[in-house]
This record gives sequence, C-alpha cells and structure tokens, in this order.
Amino acid sequence: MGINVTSLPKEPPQFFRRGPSAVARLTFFGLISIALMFVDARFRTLETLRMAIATVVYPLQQLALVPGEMLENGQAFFDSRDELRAENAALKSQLLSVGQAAQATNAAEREAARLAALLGASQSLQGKAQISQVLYGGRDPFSQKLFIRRNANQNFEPGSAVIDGNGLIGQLTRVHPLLAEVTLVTEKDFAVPVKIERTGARVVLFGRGPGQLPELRFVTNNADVVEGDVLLTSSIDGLFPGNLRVGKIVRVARGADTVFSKIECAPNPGVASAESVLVLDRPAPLPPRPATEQTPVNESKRRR
Amino acid sequence: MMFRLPDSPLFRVAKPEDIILPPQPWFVALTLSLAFVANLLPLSGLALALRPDFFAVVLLYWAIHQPRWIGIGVAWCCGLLTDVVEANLFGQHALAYAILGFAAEYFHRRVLRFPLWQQSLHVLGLLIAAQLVVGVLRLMSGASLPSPTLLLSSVTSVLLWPLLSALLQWPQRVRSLTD
Repeated sequence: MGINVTSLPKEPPQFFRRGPSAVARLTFFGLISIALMFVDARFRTLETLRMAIATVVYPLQQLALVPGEMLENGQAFFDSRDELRAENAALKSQLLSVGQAAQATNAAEREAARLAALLGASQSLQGKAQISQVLYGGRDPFSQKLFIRRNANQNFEPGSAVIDGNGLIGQLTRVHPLLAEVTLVTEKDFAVPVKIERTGARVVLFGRGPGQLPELRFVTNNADVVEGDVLLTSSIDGLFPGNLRVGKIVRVARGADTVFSKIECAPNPGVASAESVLVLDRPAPLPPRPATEQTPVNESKRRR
Repeated sequence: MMFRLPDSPLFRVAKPEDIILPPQPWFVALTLSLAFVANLLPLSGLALALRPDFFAVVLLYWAIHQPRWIGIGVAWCCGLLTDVVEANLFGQHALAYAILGFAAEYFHRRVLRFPLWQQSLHVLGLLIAAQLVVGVLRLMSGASLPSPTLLLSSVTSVLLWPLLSALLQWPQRVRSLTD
C-alpha cells in the first residue's frame, strides 16, 4: 500500500494549481491584518464589526462558562453548615458596621445636599448604579481586563466607573449587546485622577500592567505622602464620581538623585477577586473648558 | 500495513502512505468549534499560563492534514475570532494564525513523514513563532512585557499534538481498519 511521495515536487504542476500561491495569500492576509491593526489602534472605527462578531460568539462563551459553574455549584453543595453559620455571623457584624457608616454617609449627604441647594448648584450628588455579574477575567496576558454580564435592559455607557464593595476597580471600555468589557486600574498607563484622603492633595495614579502595582507619578520628593495613605477618586476628570476608594499607598521611595518619588499603591482587592460589580452612571457633565488663546508655538506645531 | 493491527486502535496514527477515509466536513468544523470553546474556559493565574492554545493546535492539525479545506484564509478568520473574544487589537491573532496556516501549507508534506515526537518539535517551533508574532505586535502597540511563563502555553500545546493526532483521526480510521 506504500506510496512513495518523496520524489514529488513541492508545488503541484501548473494544470492542478488552484488559486493564487501560498505566498501571495499570506501577503494578502498579512496586509489586511496590518491595516486592521492600524485602523483599530488609530481610529476606533471597527467597533460595530467587533460587536457583531462578539454577539455571534456569545453563546459559545456562555457554553465555556458551564463547566466552571457546575464545579462551583457542586462545591457550594458540599459546604459545611458550620462554615455557612460562621460566614453568616461575620456578614451580620459587617452589616452592622456598614449600616453605621451608611447612616453617617446619609447624614453627610443630606447636609451636602442642603449646602448644594444653598449654593444653587444643580448637579446631582448621587448617580444611578447598575449591578452586574463578573463573567470572567480577560485571557490576554498583555492587558488587564474583566468581562461583565449585561442584561438587555441595562444601559451601560463606555467610560463609566466600575466599583465593587470596596471601591473603584476599573472603567467600562467597550459595551457589547450582552456583555461589557472593563479595563482594570492595573492596566498599563491607565490613569485615574485621585486625591490623598489625609491631605486632599490631587495626584494621578497610573497602572503599570500585569503583576505590577500602580504608581503615583510626578509627586515631588518633598510632598506629604506616607505609606498607608488612602487614595480616593478626585472626580476632576468628569468621568468618575468623587470619593471612591481606589487603593492604599504601600511603598514610598524617595530617591536622592530624582525629582519625583516612586510611590506604589495597592489597588482594591476586588481588582483581582470581584464577583459582582456596580456600574456607576457618569456624573453630570462638567462645564466646558474655557477657550484658551492659541499661542504661536501651537500654531506652528499644527502646521507641521 | 493493513494487517499490522495494534493493541489499541484508538491510539494508532496513520502513516502518510496509509490510506484512510477523508474527514467529514462537519467533524472538522465541530472539532474547531470545541477547541475554540476550550480556549474560552474562564481560567486565571497559573492555569491560564499553562493553558494550551487548543484552537491553534487543532487549526494547525487540520491545516496540515487537510490543507485544501483549512488554509491561510480560514486560519486568518479564526484569528480574527480570537482577537474579538480576547478584546485585543483587531488583526494580531489573525496575522499570527495566517502565518501558522502558511507554515502548515508549506510543511504539510514533510511534517507527516516524521514520527510523532519529531512532528511535535516542528509544531513547537511554529507555535512559538506565532506567539512571538503576537508578542511583538503587542509590544509595538504599547503593551508592557508579560512574564516569560507565557511561552509555557506553547509547550503544553505541543504535548497535546500526539494525543490530537490519534483522536482527530479516529473517525477516519475505524472503518478503514475493518475493511
């Protein structure tokens, strides 16, 4: 039965050839890929195509979640009663302390509302929040993403803040019909305008990618920052509501040879472990930035 | 070749000179879909680093064994799907998988003449090349360098190759052995 094929030529003879050669096809598809990458990175005009493919693929994604859910249900079934009781007690005590905090917040909110009314400010202090369930973490080892479920009646808006019980974990970056993509605060160069709770100083927190803690950049060596300081959103970006907890400073290294300190911050644990999240509505838009005069330098830059 | 019956027909891989039934188109589509779903399993941490790229291996298998059906174009489309579900830049996996498809088309006559473990080495080289393509494109688009454990997934993918070579051929072989 053996057929010796070693002496056959690599390419089929002319009259068997179908279509363009492999090199031509690779060049064709390679160029399309590069064009797609360029367009996607520069212009972001491919979102409808992405959304269409994502919707088609969604049932398969749901299918992939089934084994994990079955495993989880099985585990929950075998959780011992004692464990549940202990958890119940812990949750009750947590509820008490949270309730206390909520009352304090309510009082503060009422006072703030009174003051705002006095000032004639029309902005709403409290936006709407929509709860959503985390489906899975991103599989791309180069970036820090999370995918959450979106029900048909939920109105998600890209750019909204995403929080868990402890504070900010990320921002909605893409909204598909049935799920939404959250970029976590640990994503490389993801910037969050924050303030230090203790001093009120405004700084910017930058993510540094997988496996690394986010850092505060451009903080001078003589700034009043100590380990343990809590960072809250400062809301000057007009995207995130103010006073969401973002993280805690864990390391301050003041270099003798640099102008700026190296300050690392531990994000909320929910960044790695959140199971359900709240998507906050974007706060009322800020008044437009006052027009600035065009300086000659800018003009010359634009012309180039 | 026909009378050399093995102990377990399940794990016997046909040599290139063996004549086996052609695969069913639905079977190719089904295995590709299953591999795609396997890639979507919600893993994290070390499990994610060790997770083989099922889709790439199965794609490479069919591109080598059935290059008339699964060529560069199909591989490119599969890469585009991967880009969408991983929320990546459009086109990076598409390019990497198209290169896999091209390499398969270029090598498919030669690779199958080697024993399985040597085929695996070929496949390892191709998968690492594909990963490097994706990696370089990501770095060029401004991502940070991931941990080198990333390349482990190519190694675990290659461990799948002998198993897949046996399993994916099974429906083509059963009847040809009883003939």
